[in-house]
Amino acid sequence: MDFQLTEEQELLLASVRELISRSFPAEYFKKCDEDYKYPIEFMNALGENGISLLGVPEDLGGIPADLVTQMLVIEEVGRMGAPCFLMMGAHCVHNMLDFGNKEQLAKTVEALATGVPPYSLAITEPQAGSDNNMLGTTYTRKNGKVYLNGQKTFISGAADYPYMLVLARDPDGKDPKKCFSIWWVDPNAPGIRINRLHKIGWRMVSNCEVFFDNVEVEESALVGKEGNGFNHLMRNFEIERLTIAAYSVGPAECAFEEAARYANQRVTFGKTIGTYQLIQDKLTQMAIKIENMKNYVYKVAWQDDNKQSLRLSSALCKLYCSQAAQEVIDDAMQIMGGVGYTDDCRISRLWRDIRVSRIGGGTDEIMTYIAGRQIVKEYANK
Amino acid sequence: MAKIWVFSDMASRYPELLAAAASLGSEINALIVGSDEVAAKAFSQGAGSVTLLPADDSRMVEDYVPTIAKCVNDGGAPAVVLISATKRGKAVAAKLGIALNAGVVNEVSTLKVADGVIVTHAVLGGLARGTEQVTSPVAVITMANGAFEPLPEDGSRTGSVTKAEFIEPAYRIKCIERRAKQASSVDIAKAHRIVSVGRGLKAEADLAMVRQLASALDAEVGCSRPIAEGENWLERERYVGITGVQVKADIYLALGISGQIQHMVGANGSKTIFAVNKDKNAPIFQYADYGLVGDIYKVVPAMTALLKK
Amino acid sequence: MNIVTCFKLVPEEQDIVVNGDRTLNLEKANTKISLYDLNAVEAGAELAAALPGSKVDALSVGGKRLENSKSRKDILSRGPDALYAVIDPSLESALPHETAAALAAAITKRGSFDLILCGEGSGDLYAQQVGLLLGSLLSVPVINEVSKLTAGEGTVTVERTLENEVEVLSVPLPAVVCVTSDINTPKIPSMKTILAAGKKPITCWSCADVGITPSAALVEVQSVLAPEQADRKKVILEGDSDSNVAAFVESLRKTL
Repeated sequence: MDFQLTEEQELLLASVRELISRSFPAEYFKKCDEDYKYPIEFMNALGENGISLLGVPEDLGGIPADLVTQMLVIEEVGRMGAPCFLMMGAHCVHNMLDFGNKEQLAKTVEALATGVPPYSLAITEPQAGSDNNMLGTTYTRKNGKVYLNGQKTFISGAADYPYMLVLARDPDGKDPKKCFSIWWVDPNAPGIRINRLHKIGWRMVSNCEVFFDNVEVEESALVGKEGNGFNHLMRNFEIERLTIAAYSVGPAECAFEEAARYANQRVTFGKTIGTYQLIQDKLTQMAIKIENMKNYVYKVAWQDDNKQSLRLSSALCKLYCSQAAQEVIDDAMQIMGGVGYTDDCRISRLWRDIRVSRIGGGTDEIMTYIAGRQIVKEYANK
Repeated sequence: MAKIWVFSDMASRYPELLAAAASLGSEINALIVGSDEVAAKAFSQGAGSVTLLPADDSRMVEDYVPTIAKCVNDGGAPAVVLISATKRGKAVAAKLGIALNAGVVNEVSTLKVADGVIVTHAVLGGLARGTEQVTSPVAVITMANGAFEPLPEDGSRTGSVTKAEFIEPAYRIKCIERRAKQASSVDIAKAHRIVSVGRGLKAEADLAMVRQLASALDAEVGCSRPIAEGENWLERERYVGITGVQVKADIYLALGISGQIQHMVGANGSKTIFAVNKDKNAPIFQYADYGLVGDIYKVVPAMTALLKK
Repeated sequence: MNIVTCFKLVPEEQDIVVNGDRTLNLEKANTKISLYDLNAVEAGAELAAALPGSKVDALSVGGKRLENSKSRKDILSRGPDALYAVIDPSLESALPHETAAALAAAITKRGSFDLILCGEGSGDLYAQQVGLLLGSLLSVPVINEVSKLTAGEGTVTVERTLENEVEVLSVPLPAVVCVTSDINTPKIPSMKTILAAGKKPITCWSCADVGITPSAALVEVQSVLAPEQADRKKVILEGDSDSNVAAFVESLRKTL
């Protein structure tokens, strides 16, 4: 088993580091976070460098790269203290290649060339988060057009991205498993009202309530097969879990490295705190978790590259990485002490940002439910 | 006994070149383009003889290489050619190296004769000093600015002046235009006190407080590389560092400078180093005699106020 | 335009360890492209982009470092279409005139060129000569300290930033131009160029292949030592309280 990165991967990561350290110092992200501002300059730079086009097929203007490489890049961006959770390229491309049509794929690539993700995913509703079946937003046909009505919430990027994918149900659908469809929507369309929510973290991207009041879309705005919306999203969820796991690794490493450096500098009772065993114990456990997170993400990405199923592994990976990263970053803050709690230290932002990983993209509880059921089933007849 | 030749594209550098020459030998010839005035001065500064190269505004300094090479060849080996390490100086030196099949070393700060010329210069971004021995019969050395103190002038000295005939070089590069740079009269290598500023300075306008402090100390203003080359807030001539100026000030005050080796190589020749930086782990505090961990925006005005009392 | 950009692979100075006797240990030092050469490579890439049909080849001479596959991809990800290298044990610690001679021989073997671009000096020796020596050896016009470069008809127009003035020169091609770090900011290699680098052609030669015979040494290196650390007092005051600032100023006053 070869754990060595390829030379190309090493050079790619060196470019990522150079891009961030040259043009995007910690102060830039601190300011964007403080001002609740989308770091458009950074995202554009990612686009210009081609980072957001990794994984897009070459004949569409992209840069072929396997999923392992894409996860490595997300990790490195996070390790450098930048908001890697904004990098949805891998995720969107995967979806559109899977169930988008030519035009939708083209629009996706067009957006990614600027570094900004093409669409936000409007699935969740106030009464329907983990329980997708409670979805109430509907689509109805009238005079050759389609009309969306309903309400979504917690939609990341709704106010920042050019398009929106909306999951809606056909109110006359007979089969509850086959009544959901996905629609490609312009967030500026008449009838759409977007309301930003205030969150404790992920401040660099909007999270919104989105209200649909008779929003008109064309038939051609259908994404994938009609009635098959749910199945399409199942595939989407698998990749989303992997990318959320990847979002967790980099920031954990960033926090860990800051804490490890600090342990060598901070002096209490005449000695650097790194000499005390309770600090060493934390750092040791943090190092183990980071190693585990990395390996898990790489392995699951490798499985997808090798056309193996991610149904179980992506859930386990996401569950582990979200929890482990939160623990690592929390321990890092403990090691940094009072300094870690201030806005001056970026660990406080990482701490606020990581918490949502255990909630979004499938809660810990749902991951356990998915995995637990499947494990039991697998061993039923063994 | 080696014959020493001295040449510079800047008249102001002859005194230190002649002083360096005097440390190597006694037969010292100054190669000077035009100017009887500079020739006269050269004798008082240590030259034993002068060779005048015919001046012509249409010529570039580098065009004199064949002429200089002939003079040196005619003078016989062993010979050492000392040139100021100016930008043109280095171009002339390399070309002479080929013309005379001579070893060339640039930006030298110490030199001595012992079975050939032995010189030292900085390598590896300032991390180390290399000592090299030039073994070829003719050695071409460019001297770092300020490496040698000029000898006291002796107005009574005279010597012979020879006029050299210009030899046309094989290639002439056409000079279309000369643009004077806003003449920076500062020669920070010679400054006794320097107040130097680095990336800790957030905006160009903040240079005002640095200038005020420098004025209160009767010091020149210097900087680290990012301020001159990156931000262009100060002239290149004020940048202290391995590819900038190496200073030997009595007092060097580093404000908001982290103290990387590339900068410290330029500053370390100073007698006493003071540093202010808000990061107590900044490398500069390893190089400082006196340091203050604090915010330059608070400290600098406070210092100016105290010094003015 | 037919362009050759010269570069050198040097040790990463941050990895160098200073021994107790002030000698240097380079064993753990990774290899990198000398920073000043990145400006030359970038200048070549920019010229080629402005003149359709241009060709840029990267060229280096040296020892084992040039066998490093990752370093080769690194240089090829920065604009050149191909890489030429003269790799020979005798060039492992080549001095400037040896380097220039090897480069000249390689360029002659490669064939005709319009422009050769070099950096102002290498990151390790920083001799600041090789480009100049190279031009002289090839008997073509050569100029240093170039901070701006534009292509003309059979010429390049350069701005040469000197101490007191800027010379604007018209240099007839073929020529060698040594650029300063002011001339550009090297682009960060994009994902695309990195992934394409491994497919570009590489030509390797030995000294014998290019017809270099060792010539008499002109210079001998006697030692490379870290400078003696001047004993600094290191009296550090923590915090910018009024009393600390006053004490600091007192120390300053005493040395005035």
